[in-house]
Amino acid sequence: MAEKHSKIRYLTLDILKPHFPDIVDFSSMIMEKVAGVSKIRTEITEIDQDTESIRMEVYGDNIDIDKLKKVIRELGASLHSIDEVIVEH
Amino acid sequence: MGVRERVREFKKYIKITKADTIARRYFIMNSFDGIVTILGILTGSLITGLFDPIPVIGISISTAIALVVSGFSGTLIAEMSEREIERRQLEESMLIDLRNSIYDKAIKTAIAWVGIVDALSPLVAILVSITPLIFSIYNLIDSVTALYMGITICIIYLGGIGAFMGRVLKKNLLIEALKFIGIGLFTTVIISIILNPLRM
Repeated sequence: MAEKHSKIRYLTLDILKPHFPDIVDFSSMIMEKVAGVSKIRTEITEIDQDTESIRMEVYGDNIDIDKLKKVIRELGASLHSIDEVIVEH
Repeated sequence: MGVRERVREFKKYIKITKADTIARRYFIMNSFDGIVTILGILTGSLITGLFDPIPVIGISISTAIALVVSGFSGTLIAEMSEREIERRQLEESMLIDLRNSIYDKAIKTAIAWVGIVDALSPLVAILVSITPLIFSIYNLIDSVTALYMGITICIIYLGGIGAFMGRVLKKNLLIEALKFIGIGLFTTVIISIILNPLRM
């Protein structure tokens, strides 16, 4: 968990999600619901009959990581791993 | 949550589940069912000499109610079963519980919306078609004219559904409208031939 005086500026996430919402709606809803997010880049890395794996890059001033995890879960997706992070003072 | 926010959320759920496409399909199908059904009732009344508008309106409204109940409950049962199967498959694939997720809420919203469209489509068609008969109760027009007007409204309504389909499919609106009108006229002719021995 980030220290109070540190700010999360960037994250790369590995997420497994159903086909809907599609990556446009999925990314848009995360942007709307999570504080501190200014930009999201999403790429589908794998796809099968029921699900798709995506690589999501989240940029912001002070990303609320707990809210981000909660929203991902609410959208019916599963956060497999956080692969990269940039934290600044 | 305010009304505006609820409407925004509703529109979002319909968009992400593509329920608007499903609802459109049900609208066309069930409007068609409703209008051809009422066309049959009105044509049969005319051919067999049932000119009293009250029993015809009674039969039409009871048919409309039956179609509304059948449409709504049938859609709900069918769609909920299919979505339940999909949800379980997805939960097995993803090893998570999707209950109470936005995915779950979106699906339920979509099912309710499609059910409402399914229910209301034939109802609107039937009520519009029997309007002349309601006027005839108040002696604004005679009942035979009302039956002819009702049948004409049905045929025009069918043309409207055809034109709507043409717009969706980006085809010639007139040709699609004429196809549906053709189906309506064929129905009228078949009923007239079969019921002719009962003519009064």
